[in-house]
Amino acid sequence: MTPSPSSRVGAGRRIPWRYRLSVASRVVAALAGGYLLTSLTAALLALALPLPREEAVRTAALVSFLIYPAAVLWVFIASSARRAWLGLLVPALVMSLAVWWLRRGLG
Amino acid sequence: MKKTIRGSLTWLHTWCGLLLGWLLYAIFVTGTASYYKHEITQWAHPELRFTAASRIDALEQGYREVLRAEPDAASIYIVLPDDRSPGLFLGWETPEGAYLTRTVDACTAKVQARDSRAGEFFYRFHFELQLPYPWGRWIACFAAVFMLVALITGIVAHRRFFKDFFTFRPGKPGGRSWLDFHNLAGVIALPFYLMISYTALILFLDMFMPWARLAVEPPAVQTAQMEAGGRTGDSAVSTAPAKPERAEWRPMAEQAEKAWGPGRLRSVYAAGLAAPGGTVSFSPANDDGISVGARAGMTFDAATGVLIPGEAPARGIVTRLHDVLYGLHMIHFAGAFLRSIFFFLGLLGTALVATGLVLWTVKRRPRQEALHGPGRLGFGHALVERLNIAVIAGFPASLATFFWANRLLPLGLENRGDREVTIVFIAWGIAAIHPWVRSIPRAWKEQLWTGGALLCLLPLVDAVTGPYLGRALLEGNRTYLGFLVVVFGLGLMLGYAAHRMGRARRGGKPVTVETA
Repeated sequence: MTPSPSSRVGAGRRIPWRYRLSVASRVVAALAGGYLLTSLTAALLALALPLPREEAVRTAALVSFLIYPAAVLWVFIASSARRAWLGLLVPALVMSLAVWWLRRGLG
Repeated sequence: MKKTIRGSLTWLHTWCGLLLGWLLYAIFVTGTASYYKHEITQWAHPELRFTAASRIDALEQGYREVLRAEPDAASIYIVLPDDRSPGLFLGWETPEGAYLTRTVDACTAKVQARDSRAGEFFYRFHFELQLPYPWGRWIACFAAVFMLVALITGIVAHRRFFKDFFTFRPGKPGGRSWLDFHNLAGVIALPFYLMISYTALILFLDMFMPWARLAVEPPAVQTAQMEAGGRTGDSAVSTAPAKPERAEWRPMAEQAEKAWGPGRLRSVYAAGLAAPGGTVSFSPANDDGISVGARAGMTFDAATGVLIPGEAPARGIVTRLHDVLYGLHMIHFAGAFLRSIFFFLGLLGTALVATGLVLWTVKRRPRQEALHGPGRLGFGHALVERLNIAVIAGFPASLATFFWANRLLPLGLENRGDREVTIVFIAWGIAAIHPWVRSIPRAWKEQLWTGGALLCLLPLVDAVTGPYLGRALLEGNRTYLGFLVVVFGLGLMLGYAAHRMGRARRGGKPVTVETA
């Protein structure tokens, strides 16, 4: 069995503040950033999919539920908390613009 | 988080699993119990019995009983008995806006079941966590998302699980057997866990992810919906409360039964009765297929009794897929055998979470002892061990007190149903404090023994508190007796765990906690 990867920052030893902040930042990114990205994916798909309205809404939500766990995985794989946030916020910004642009036609 | 992706995902599995595990365990236990929600209710409402009364007669009786209790009911909801629940559920809204419910027998609608949440308690706890609306539902949704995360990362963390699947080393030191069991429980039912966490989100699609629907609404509609608090279809409050006519329900019910076939009528919801324009909607049972959709109800004008023709909405493939996934979580369609399989899978999931939580402590214990000296634990580690006891052993024991309270509380007690729930939480509170005054191994054993004893002694409590067990034995009531057998079996499992816990720790040094 491979030793637990968390052994490097084990109990009893001083855990650096930078590390704690990075974890806290990623937890917020996973919960709030992940939800933001998921919501925008759902909104964008519902608007963009060439399906009847109810079908598009359901498809968008069903797909978005897969985006959320994927976003959480990304947040903790990213090499730094800053990169984790960028990886969420840049696509979120692009999708926000797309949602805004698509919604102009709704009246 | 770590240098490699695999390391990061393993780290995430460890910590997401720990923080989520306590919540997920409670959700798994109550969800597994909810598969037998109606059977629990049969035992918890022993006053109600199956009758040969026709469904339409039962509906008529229930309707009259509601009007007797509240002649000006603004809305009425009646659920008819079926072969899993003998009772007639009556719910109505008073003109003042209060919502009252009562469960009565289907024959006369007069014999009232004891005030107990019964199976509904477990069902509601499963997704509302006994928290004020809508907090519990939101927390449960986030738990579902992070359960998906825990499952995916778990596949990576325990990547050798296909090999480990054929490995079980009971009694091996150093947490090997805990790990083997965690892997085993994980692999056997992995598709079930993935399905159940994904479909959980589908149940709350419109609450948890309303943005898909809101995005396609034109802005004007959107604002109106936001102002109405997201609710649609609520009838406007009439300013002139002229009491409208009320048509008889029987002809409507007969029309519905004719359309669906005998025995298919399941529930009736009458809304907006205080003002003109009220409706009476009949819904068929939804246990004839996996999908929850497609069974259109019939709606009548409450004043004239005339059928309001509704257009069957066109159902696209994704909508149908959605309805099937929704139904997979609820399993209204499952017969006795399939239901027992789901129950077993639910138990496995419970064990998966429990072994994962225990594994966290078992793996870290040697390093704790190296750090703090033999038998000594750091504060954080000891906190986790104690929370594990209060949740893994304490929660089932607390739930067992629910059944005891159901039989022991005086029947005439005010708010009896609420008090049953209060007792559960008092018991859980004691279970949370208990590990702080006892040593960790002793607390494990004592709580597991208590839970086991509470469950195993339930038939005895039942026998001395009423005639119901004797009657069930005489009549060969398989549901009633089956409930007690399953509860007894679960008690034996807790007792076995307590016994094993005693053996595993024997010879070990007493554990004290170093509070640094």
